[in-house]
Amino acid sequence: MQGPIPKGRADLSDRLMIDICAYEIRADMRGFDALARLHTELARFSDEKIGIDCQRLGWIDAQLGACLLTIVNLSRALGNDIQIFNIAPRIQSILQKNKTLLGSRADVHGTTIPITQFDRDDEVKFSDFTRSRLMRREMPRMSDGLRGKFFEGIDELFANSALWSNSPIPVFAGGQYFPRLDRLSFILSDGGQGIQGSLAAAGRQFKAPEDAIDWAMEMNNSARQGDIPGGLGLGILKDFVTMNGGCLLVCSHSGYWEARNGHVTKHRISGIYPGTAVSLEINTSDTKSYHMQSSINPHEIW
Amino acid sequence: MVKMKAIRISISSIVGGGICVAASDGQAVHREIYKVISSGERAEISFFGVTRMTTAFLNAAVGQLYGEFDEETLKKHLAPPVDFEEWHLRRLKMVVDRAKAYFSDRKRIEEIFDSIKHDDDD
Repeated sequence: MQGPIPKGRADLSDRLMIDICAYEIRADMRGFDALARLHTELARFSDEKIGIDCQRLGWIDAQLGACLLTIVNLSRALGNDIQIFNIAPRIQSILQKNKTLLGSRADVHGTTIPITQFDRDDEVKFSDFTRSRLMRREMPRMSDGLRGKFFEGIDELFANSALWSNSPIPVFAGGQYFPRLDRLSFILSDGGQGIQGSLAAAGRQFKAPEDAIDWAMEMNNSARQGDIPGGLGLGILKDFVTMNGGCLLVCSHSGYWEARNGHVTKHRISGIYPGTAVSLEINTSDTKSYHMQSSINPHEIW
Repeated sequence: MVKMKAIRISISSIVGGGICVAASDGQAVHREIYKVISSGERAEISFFGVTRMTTAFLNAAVGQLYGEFDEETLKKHLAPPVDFEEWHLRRLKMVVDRAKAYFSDRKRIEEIFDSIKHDDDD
């Protein structure tokens, strides 16, 4: 089962309860720490009926539903049956609108990019999905240059995940538009080997997972070996976010890396996130031209 | 001097649409370009109808050619691209420059390994 998470009634439940030990889960280091701790707890059990107790939770950034679905589906793959309990009505509504939780709730403002699952070879389906969701009239009116760069960024993100994650479950992607803040957030989460893991598999060792992420985010750095070059996707994304004034963050296993306002920070989190989540947040009011000043001569390409 | 025939390689026709994001689709384009070069003709890559394109696609389609042929051969057998928009060329140029660096570095590393191996053999 890989669909949305059902909600249960605590008073009728004899389930093993796991507490989300956080008052809020935002797309930042603390938020990913809370998600990683939830995964660490769930990963201890197999073939159990488990309830995730959200009693303390007062807020979750909607797009992080992609991460919840990664965590829950990895637990389901261990034979666990998962339900959500004691969730605040406002959070329930947000997570139903974006299809993280079971139950239909209309997205009347049209600002949600529903959390959707993709297999690793669904690159074209993913591109179609993002185009159809972002072309809706409720979505931000971005300049053509910005829209092009955004699509380029998320396509590179998916291609990167498809190449490297080696995830046993589908990739989850979705997003949220915040019209008052001129912000569009998009997240991609896989349950794979993590950036440090894929670099280690290619023979490149890093002492700390956050250092592995930092290395992978640099242009021209790639675990790729053999006949096809690589190493451009994440670097492109980082350069774009820096120009746009947005935010790019990556949580991969226990490493956390963030580029915000052109400033990079990296940290270790206490739990282990099951794979890699990349969150891209862009400033939709950006009117910069993303065309390079000098044009390229087609006679001098090769 | 005999002028080589230019064979048009339409990316969107091979991929079956304008979304050129999958490395596997890039491989299909690579096969066509490879055939043209191997047969001694000149490949003219058309970007007509290409609306989305990743570096993963271009690395597979074009980047790996630099590991299969030397740069002079590719200059001779690849015509300037046609039907492009500026962003197509920017991305193509980025991938080509990266491929040249990648394969020259790989050759250098192989040479180092070879020299170490010879030293061991000695």
